[in-house]
Amino acid sequence: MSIITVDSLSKSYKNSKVKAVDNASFQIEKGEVFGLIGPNGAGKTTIFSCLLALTNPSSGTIEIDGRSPQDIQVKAMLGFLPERPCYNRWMTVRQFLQYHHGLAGHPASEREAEIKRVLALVELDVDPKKRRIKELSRGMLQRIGLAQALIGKPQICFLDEPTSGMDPLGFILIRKLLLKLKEEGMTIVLNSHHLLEVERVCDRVAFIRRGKIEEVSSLADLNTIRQMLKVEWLPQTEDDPTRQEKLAQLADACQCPLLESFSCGAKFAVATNEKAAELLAGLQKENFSVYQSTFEKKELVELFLNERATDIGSEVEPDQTGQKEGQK
Amino acid sequence: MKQPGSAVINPAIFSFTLYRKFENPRYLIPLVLIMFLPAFMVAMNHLYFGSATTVEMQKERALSMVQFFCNPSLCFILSYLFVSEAFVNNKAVADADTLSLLFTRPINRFSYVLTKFLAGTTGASLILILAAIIAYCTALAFGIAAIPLDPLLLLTILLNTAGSTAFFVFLHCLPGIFALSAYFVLLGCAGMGNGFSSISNGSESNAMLDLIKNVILTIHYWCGDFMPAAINLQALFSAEGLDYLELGVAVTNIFIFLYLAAQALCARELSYGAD
Repeated sequence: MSIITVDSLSKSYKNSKVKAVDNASFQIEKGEVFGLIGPNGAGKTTIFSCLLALTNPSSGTIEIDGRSPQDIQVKAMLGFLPERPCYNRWMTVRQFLQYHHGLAGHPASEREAEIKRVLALVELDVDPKKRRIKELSRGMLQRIGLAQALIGKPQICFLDEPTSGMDPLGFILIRKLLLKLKEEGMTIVLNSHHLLEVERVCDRVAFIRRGKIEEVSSLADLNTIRQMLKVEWLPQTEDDPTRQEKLAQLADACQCPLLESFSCGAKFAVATNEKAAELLAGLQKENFSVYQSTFEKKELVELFLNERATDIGSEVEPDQTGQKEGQK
Repeated sequence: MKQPGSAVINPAIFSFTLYRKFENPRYLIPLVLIMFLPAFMVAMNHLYFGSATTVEMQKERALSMVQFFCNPSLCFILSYLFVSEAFVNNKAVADADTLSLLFTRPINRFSYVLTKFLAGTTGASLILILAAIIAYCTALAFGIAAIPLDPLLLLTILLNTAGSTAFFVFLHCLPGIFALSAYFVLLGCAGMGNGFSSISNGSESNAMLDLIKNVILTIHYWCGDFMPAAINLQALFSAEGLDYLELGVAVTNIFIFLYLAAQALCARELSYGAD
């Protein structure tokens, strides 16, 4: 059952010709951990902003639990960890959590117990009554942010770069915590550059590039289908200056992106066995004397790098999409 | 069961605006200074002039004390201290970041505006009313009647702080650059309006210039010499005919600024970080 439905979502900012989000559609199931993956400026934060009703979409619809994200009842279901710690710096840790517990509309009688619970969850070892937010390190801030996101047991949690600024222990904590929350049935929407973490906790991921959702895949599918084909061929007797161009054209034609090429071989991303067969046939046709081809398991990191590689030169920087408030 | 966010006044924001950020004693220093300033003025006046003053002089001093409580810049700075978080963050202007995190919570934007307004007005007027009481007690201790502490003075304080808080909430709800622009445009109109209202028409008439002048004069009239419009209810009620228009301007100012603040906040798109 889908708890979040995004349909044809587009967002353009004033003073920007580029669409920050372009016709994005996806659904997130209840209890699922869903990851958004893409290079900087791909539009992940804009999608988050639209889902959190901080920004109005230019077109398209978003439904969370069958309602608009603007709906107060929807907001009462959400927890959010922002990418940058934008907290009330002068508050003590306890005041900050009390404040957010109050803002979330939970009864004051449950407040202290709930603060204890979330502080234990994020394993923050500070005196919450004495330490002020401005005195905390980046990693501690991240833990506090996570604690405020989890306060009041939200049904859906939006986590933007949860491991940002964390030490290795923090990484382990986040992983354990996400898996625990997943077990408890919380729906988590994750935006992270730490793809290994994404791979370990996400059920499905959406690849975003230049505001477009290129693909939504389950991690299980990615592990079996998305593979890398390494092809090796015999050295050619005559130098062919157009060889690289031919490889690129062939990769395009077979929809198997060229990941890497070397003197007598190349690596391609292939989605299916049929595509691999088509590619090999094409190589033979172009007089590449293929003598060996092997599948290698393609990790999320490589998929991301592939997205990134094809993006270089045309990447949309955040300020070009006008995501900063002053430019709107 | 009551739905979260359904309350018109949000208790968490109210307490946060009114007193939570003053829990650190050093943030109380400006408030305490303002609170004791009129008492200090009373004491200085008495020590300087002595008690050998006529009743007329005492009345004049009482009038100047009342003027102190109508001072728009005083109300304005108090409203700023309560409404903005920038002061406790050691910043000149507050970040929009905390607002974006706040509005991911079940909070209606209009309720936010109203809560901020009520908390700011309560805080600012409370400080001035306490200041008036301290000044009154100080004057009594010196055996003089330096300040007429009556319901009209308290209402004057309430109305003026409400006006300045509404204006400051309006600025607070705008993005930083727009807030500064709005402030300077209104300030400019007030300054130019003063000039226009004190001189007669120029020798050459120009329709466009006349239109601009009229717009500036209207803004000036509505917003006062230094916005928001200050009002002295004691003077107003002691006059032969009560100036309903002046009272009306002060009250409608509050509603206009609150309405504009709510509209600005609803239209505002918030960003929580660079991707």
